[in-house]
Amino acid sequence: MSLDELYQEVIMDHYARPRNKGRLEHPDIDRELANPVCGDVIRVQVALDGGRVGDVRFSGKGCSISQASASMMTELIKGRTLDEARGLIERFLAMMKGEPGDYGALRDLQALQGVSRYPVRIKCATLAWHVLEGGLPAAAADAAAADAGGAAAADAVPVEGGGAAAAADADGAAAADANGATAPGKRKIHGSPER
Amino acid sequence: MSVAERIRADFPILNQTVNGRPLVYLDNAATTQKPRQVIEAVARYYETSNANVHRAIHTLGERATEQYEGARERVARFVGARDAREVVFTRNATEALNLVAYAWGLRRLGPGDEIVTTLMEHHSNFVPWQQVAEARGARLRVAAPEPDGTLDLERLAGLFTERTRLVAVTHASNVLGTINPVDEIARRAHEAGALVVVDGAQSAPHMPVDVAALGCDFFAFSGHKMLGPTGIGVLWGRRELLEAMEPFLYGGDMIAGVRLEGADWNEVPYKFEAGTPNIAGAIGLAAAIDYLEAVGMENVHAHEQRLTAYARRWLEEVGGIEIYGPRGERSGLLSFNLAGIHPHDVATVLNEEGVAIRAGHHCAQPLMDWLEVPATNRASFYIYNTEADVDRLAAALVKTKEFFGNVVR
Ligand SMILES: Cc1ncc(COP(=O)(O)O)c(C=O)c1O
Repeated sequence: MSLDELYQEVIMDHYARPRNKGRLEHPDIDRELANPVCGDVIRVQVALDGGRVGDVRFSGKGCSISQASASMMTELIKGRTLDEARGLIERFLAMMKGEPGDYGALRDLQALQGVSRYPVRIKCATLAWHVLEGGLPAAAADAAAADAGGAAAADAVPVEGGGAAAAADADGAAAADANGATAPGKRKIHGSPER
Repeated sequence: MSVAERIRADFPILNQTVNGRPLVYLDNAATTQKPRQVIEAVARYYETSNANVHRAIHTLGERATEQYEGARERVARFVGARDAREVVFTRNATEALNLVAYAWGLRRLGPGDEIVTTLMEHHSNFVPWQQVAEARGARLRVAAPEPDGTLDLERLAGLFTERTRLVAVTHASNVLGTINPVDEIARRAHEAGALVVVDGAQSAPHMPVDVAALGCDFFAFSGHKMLGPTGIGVLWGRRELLEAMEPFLYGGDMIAGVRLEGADWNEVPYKFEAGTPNIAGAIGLAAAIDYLEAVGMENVHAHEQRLTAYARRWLEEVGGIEIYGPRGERSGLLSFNLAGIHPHDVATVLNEEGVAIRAGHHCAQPLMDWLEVPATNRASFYIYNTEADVDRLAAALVKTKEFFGNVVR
């Protein structure tokens, strides 16, 4: 497989110009997970609108595959019912497992099919989807609980001496562990401009 | 044949293509390749001497025991231990550090005691102390490096108080390449009444190490990072400390006698080696040490210094690359980022070119946070790498920049 097949134009386009990247003021679902392989963190926020995905945003740093996947995911699920969203998650994860099938419903995301041949990169492509997947049932059961989003209250260990040291801080919603991705708990999302 | 060609000829795995290009292996800080001499030593043991150690009254058992204990003596000489009984075989550096955490930390530390460590530790010399501190109500104090990636001795020593019981520090950073002044740190820590545990996973493979000269109390390293097999590691510890410590694992071989009411422990180091050990691994490690010492650890270090300096010049020439860690004396690795291109993408393109590097957080997330990056690329060198390998790395990085050039933000 060549690099051009892996990094298809639509992927590079979403990487260069991510859609729906940013933050929502009042999300009903707000969750983040870290990719244990590289430490990348993706946060997904959803505002519900009568049982549908009214608005959705993602944030966090990552490689081209994880950023493009998150960006395309937000486009695909906007306006869908939660059941439809669950179905699309299921389709996407099946495609990443390399299962044969019709993935037309995933539209542009089919460009990511080639990633399934790069075992270490699969986690990059699925990260945003696992974040969303873990957020959905809780939202269906109790939307109010979802946005209470208690941050993991971790005692920060002060870092002493040296240059500008960033102490670990408790920031971001405490996410439940899902599907091999680790909940970041004490990790901090850097709010600085992305490079 | 040049020295490098002669060395490369001993490593069968290097003689292959990846994605149609001759393999360039630059992930040596993660694990190193094995020379034929090590592979053959392991095979020879299984073909001629395999038996369980320490218990059998038959010829093979005696042979296996002799070779296993011979490996212990080989390791002791390699690190300058005065007594082979100070060498405990473990699975790896991680288990060696955990041994100290469990057998010393959990039992000797109490509320209010302090452990001092640094922000450049690998998780395996950080998380155990974090856990011990939490379990015992002790306090973990973390020293940050200077902006250039070095540790300032005065700043570090400034954290020592009369409550400091342990200082846990890496000899060489697996990300920054910093070589820390362990001898001076140990002297200052001892003045403060603290013990010193050193993570030698990135130093023992790459430079001469003498635990007596370092003056530390514990020193941990892994065989697989120094041409040896996986599954064998070493904890060196001062004998009087090891003798005063309780076991870490219980079971066979670590016991002197068992009654219904209790048990007595075997002497050191066997007290810490419960169960059948990795006999072939220890023998393979001894063969790896033979190989390294035939090359000469000074020469290993000098070779890596040259390659690292050469690679740094190349990376600066390529441009748009941020390199982390100190400029001067450092261990044989370079961590870097290409502006606007995630390390995962870099490593994927490099792999297409047959160049193996590592991309990720290198099990040093507190350090990544300090660097304010989620991950870095890391090229790490060993005795079989050449300037031609670095040239291939540089060419692949140029290609990566071209490939992603139009989307760099
Ligand atoms: C500095 C350092 N310490 C500890 C370790 C852990 O080594 P191992 O995984 O062999 O236990 C590593 C290896 O990645 C390392 O680089």
